Amino acid sequence: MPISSIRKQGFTLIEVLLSIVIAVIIFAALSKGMIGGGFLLKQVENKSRACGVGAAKMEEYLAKSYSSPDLEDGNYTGDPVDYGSKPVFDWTVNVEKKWMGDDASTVDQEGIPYKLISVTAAYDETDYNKISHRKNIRFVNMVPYPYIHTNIKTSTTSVSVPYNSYTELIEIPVSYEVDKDLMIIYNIAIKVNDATDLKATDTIFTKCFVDSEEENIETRTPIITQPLISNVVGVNNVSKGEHTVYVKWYKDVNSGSISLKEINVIVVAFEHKQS
Amino acid sequence: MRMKKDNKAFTLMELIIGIILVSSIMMVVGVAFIFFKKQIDIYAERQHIYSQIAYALEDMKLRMISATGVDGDSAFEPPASSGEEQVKNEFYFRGQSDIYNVTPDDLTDDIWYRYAIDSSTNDLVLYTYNADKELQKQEVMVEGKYKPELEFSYKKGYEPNFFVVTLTVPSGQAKLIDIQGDIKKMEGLRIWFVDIVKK
Repeated sequence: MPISSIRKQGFTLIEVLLSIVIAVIIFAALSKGMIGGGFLLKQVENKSRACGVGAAKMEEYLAKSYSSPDLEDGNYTGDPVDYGSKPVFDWTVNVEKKWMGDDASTVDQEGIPYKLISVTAAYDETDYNKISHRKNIRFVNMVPYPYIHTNIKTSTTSVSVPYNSYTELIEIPVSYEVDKDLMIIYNIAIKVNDATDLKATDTIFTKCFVDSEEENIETRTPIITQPLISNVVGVNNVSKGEHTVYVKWYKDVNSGSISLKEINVIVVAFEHKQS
Repeated sequence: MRMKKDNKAFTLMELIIGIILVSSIMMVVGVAFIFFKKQIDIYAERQHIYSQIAYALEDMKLRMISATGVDGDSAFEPPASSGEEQVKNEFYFRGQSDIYNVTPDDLTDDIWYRYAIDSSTNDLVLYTYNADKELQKQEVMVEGKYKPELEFSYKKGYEPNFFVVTLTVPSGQAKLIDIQGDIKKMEGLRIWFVDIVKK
């Protein structure tokens, strides 16, 4: 066998240095990635907190009724929400009245009204280069005009029943932003102070009026035998705006003295259904 | 057989340089590994806490929306003119036994619920009672090892059926990677059928 020379050569300095440089680059990239991940996490947590503030504020305003003074058109703000660590979160609520189906170019205020609620939560955030930026989170929702409205009024004022012509017993002012169908329910308790010359057929008449228009349904109640009067009247297509609902009464006999003990009126208004 | 071998060993200098290089690389790799692992642990823990907090808040929202009664101790006083915030650390209310079958007109199928921190384990627990307020079961919403803090707050300007719940979990390791010191989430809660303010 010939003499063989086995050449064992290690890494050169260049190879070693190159390996180190490559390793350092890889580690630098990984480190930057991890630090960037931490920064991203911070951003996500800030956004999550801002969402919490915005959602809680939105829920607070959605809990308010359509006619609440807190839901008048305008901007509302208050103390910033401080979670105990930076950043703090400023919030603004904007309320704007709008109408469903309204033409945005003409805004004729037709259709069902609603309150558009926009909640903005804002906070300062420092970016990777230590530059501060203002960040905003915005939520939008609405409070619609209620489908049903009720007005209730009670009176115990002692007024006497007039003779022969309808006279106002009670009035209830109502105001609606859309056309409504009304259901007017009233219960009257009377007190006979003097029954002299009253006959069993003598009667009290009651009727409902919306503004000056009288409704067709009239109750006719014998005075002596029936001290309670109840009636339910439906009034369709009451136009939007302010109106007054009246309950009026009279008796068909001039004798006797009859007065009011108590009256309860409930006006239930539903959104008018187009037929 | 004759064989000539070139058996040249490392010099002392080569060995020293080699050891220094390997040590340096090992040290960098080791430190980086420890740092990365710590960071991953923190992320994982925070993610775990976030999911528990989200679960607890979602559960509260689902159960409370159809509540039909609030225990006297959990009801808030009417807001003071100063508007000072009132804070409670637990909430005890009557709600639906089946939260997906809401029957506010029928109280016979209602049971009692209480969200509170268990003082012995620090767990945030949902306690479930029967109609006679006898404890039936308890479910851990946020584990006590995270030391959760629970606050129900009510202040002037809120509607009487609205309040805010805030869940806080301190995170002691946060300083290591410069993120928020605690995990905090708030939620506005609205109850449909009853008020949470004493009349």
